[in-house]
Amino acid sequence: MKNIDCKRIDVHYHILDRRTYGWENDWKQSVEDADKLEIDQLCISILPENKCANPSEFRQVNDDVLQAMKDYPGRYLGYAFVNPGYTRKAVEEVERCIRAGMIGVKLYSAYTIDDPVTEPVIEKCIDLGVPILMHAGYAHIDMGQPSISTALHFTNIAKKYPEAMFIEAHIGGGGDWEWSIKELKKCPTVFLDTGGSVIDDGMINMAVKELGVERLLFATDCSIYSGVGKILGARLTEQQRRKIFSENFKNILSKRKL
Amino acid sequence: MKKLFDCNAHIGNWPFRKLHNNNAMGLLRMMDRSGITNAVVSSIDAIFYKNCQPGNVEVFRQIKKYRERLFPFAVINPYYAGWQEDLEECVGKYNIKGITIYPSIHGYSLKDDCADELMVKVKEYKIPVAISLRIVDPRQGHWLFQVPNINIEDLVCFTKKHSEVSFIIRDVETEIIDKKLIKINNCYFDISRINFCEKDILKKLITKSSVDRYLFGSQIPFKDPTPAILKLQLSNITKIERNKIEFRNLENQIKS
Repeated sequence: MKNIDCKRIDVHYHILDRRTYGWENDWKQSVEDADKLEIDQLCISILPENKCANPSEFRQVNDDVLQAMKDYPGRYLGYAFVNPGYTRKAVEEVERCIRAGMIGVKLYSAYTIDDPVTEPVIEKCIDLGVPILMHAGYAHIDMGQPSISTALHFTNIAKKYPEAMFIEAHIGGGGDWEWSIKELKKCPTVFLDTGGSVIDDGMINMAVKELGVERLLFATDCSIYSGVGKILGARLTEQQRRKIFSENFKNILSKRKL
Repeated sequence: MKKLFDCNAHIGNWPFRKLHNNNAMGLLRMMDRSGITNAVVSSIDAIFYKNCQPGNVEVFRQIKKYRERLFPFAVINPYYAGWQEDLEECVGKYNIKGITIYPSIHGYSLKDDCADELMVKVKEYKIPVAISLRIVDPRQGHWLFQVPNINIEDLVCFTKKHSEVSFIIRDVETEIIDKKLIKINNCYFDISRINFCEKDILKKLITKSSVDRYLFGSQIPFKDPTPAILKLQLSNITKIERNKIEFRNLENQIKS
């Protein structure tokens, strides 16, 4: 991987797969939008339509991510999306994708992060020295995702695997962010991505205060104006902002063992 | 100084989350920090008080010294006793520049007679009406506070029916503007929730209707205003169009 002196790395972004109409424009447009907002690198994954994807489906979307990385070298960094329910195939796919240059693993809500079924994937990520970005959220209404991971699930799994690099996705993803930050305080090895469309005043500052700036990673989850704006608008020092925008994630990337 | 006029600012307490900068001084601090020169403000407390008026009066009291920068909109609940007198007092004594209504929270529908009765008075006073389609993302709502969304078809009928009234539709999504409200010329749109993931979306909306229909809004102090400002700064629109959205359109509403 090129060692670019990036000032802004978006650790949570998605692009369309190559079977969806308009994908070429989407790939190009995403990079152009990133340019506008001075985002140097977008860490991408593709979520298949079937979130409980079978091995052939997750391999297909990962091939698309590898292609996007080739088409836009240095701009797109890839996450391997897998369904941990297919244990052997999921672990093999993680290995294949990381060897091909991807930087981590993306999991969705087929299982919670502390479900024993995810453990082989977690152990593979520890072996490879790569992070796991996990879809997450907590709300007081039914969000229609019964197996969505909350900070409680992260607390459980982080106790079991303190050496793993877990990233709880999008604190601005629409749930009760105060609850998530307070709960996440109990598991100091878990990182938090700042993505999502929610731009509540005080959200980033509370996260910094409660968790420490080292645990926050800049992300947009495709809400790029909200994503950049909330970091620029938060009451932070320039050094804190640099850490969130890229330095913390560069530190994670440096742990790669392959 | 470059003008930036916010159509969506508030003062008061939100019962479900601590807000910072939620009094007049705090709001002005927040505005100064982000380059917002003027704002339409209304009371958050009045949304929750059964009798809204003390919430309104508290806002008028706080902004008394800052009337060059802060323009009050009164929260009026036409389903509650004495609203006519309250509105008269707000117009006559406090010189409000518009009103804000929250039909879902206040327990009435835009199809109800009381909503029409309120519009009769509004026409008489020649003031705009702000309607917020939501205050916070429902996913982060409190377990005791689950309010149904405003029925969009009712909103369409209501705004068409009262074509002489200017409606400032706040916290409105792109799709609702584009598919439901864009052809209703007396509707004006706060840009704070327009989805800028789509390239040149503001330009497309302007081309379909008129730039005069769009207003800068940030929903301070609930939200950080920086993303809304960034959206506007980086939009592919002309300087004249930008100026209109930044302040001219809202100034026209307030004047009229």
